[in-house]
Amino acid sequence: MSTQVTEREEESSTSEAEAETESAHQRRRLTEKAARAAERDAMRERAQEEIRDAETTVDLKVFRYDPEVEGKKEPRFDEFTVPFHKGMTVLDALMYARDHYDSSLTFRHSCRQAVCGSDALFVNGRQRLGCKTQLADLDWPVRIEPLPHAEVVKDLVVDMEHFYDQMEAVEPYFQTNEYPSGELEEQRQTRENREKVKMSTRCIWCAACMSSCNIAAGDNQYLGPAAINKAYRFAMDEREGEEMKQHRLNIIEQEHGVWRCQTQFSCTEVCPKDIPLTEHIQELKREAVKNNLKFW
Amino acid sequence: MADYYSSFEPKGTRWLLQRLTAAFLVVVLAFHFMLLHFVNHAAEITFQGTAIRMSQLGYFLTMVLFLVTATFHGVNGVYNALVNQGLSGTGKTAVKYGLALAGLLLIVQGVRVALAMTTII
Repeated sequence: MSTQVTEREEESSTSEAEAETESAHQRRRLTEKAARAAERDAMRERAQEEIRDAETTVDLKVFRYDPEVEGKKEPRFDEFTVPFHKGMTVLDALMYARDHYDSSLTFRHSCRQAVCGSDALFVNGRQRLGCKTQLADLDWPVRIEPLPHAEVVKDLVVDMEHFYDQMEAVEPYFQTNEYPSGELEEQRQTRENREKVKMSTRCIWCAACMSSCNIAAGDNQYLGPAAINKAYRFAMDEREGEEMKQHRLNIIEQEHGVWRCQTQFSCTEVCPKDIPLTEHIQELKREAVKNNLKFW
Repeated sequence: MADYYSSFEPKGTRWLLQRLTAAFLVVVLAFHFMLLHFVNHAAEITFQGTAIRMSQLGYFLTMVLFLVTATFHGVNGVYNALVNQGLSGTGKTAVKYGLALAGLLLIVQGVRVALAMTTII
């Protein structure tokens, strides 16, 4: 919150200096700016009112950091008091804080229904989806941090580049060289096979698993649970054919592929889509061993 | 992954052996504790008693196998834990051969001790 206060002080001092050389364009700009400031103040007042009227309020401790802003170079926690209503999620509370107190509070979100995978956060010491986590289920005050083991870009936003690189490394798309014979024939999957890969298809690329993994934290080359799960989804898909499966196994059985998994189950614990990640990794290990073990 | 070169043999052999030795060690370790901590208490262990036990062929072979599997399991475990922590490059090579040498020395010395305690050979 203090960031915004200093910003506004700077703005007012520069606008005074420029007042003499005011053009029509500048006048319009300054009126708009004043209107925005008034709107911000109004929002803050409204928040005060709502807090007064609310039965329950919840305190958020939110991680703040921005290497490009003078007052935010040192990481710190800001506290926001938000009126609580039944069914309120962590994301709802964050949006309330952003809209009413500090518009510079930065976090990713999009669909708000646990499908887009944008808002994986470290809430009360655990990786969770902000939109899926009920405030009522948490201990208060609620502490919200960016995902651990990733570089923080700003506030709650982390750099996802490494995660996406790992996902891409396993070629996360359907590919085959076995086509059905008829010209208009479809590539049909058996119900059993669909059931087998069903859970693995639910991944939303939120990176909660990658962030929770002890091994991925120390070893940057490790593919990580999400990528291996992606490899599982296609390696186990019978429509891809035997040759393609060999190719997929070649990727995951490298030194920093499946073998690094120590079956700690932290990925399975935090996965917001309940994918049995560790089991999938173990199954791929077995596949790889069976594939290579020859007694003759 | 296309330009990735490594001396690592992607066959999962070491992973499988780690599992198999673990299963073996659980059983033999239970047997060891049973025999040498509960049936014969630690205070009652004598060199003569050891020599008698070690002179039985089955027991002798089990103990030698115990030594070899435990050494592999331990050394391989430490190596993998370090790789998990991000050990790479020269350090990794040094650790790999250092641990392999240490394991080898342990087995050689262990076998020497075993032979000293037996009358079979």
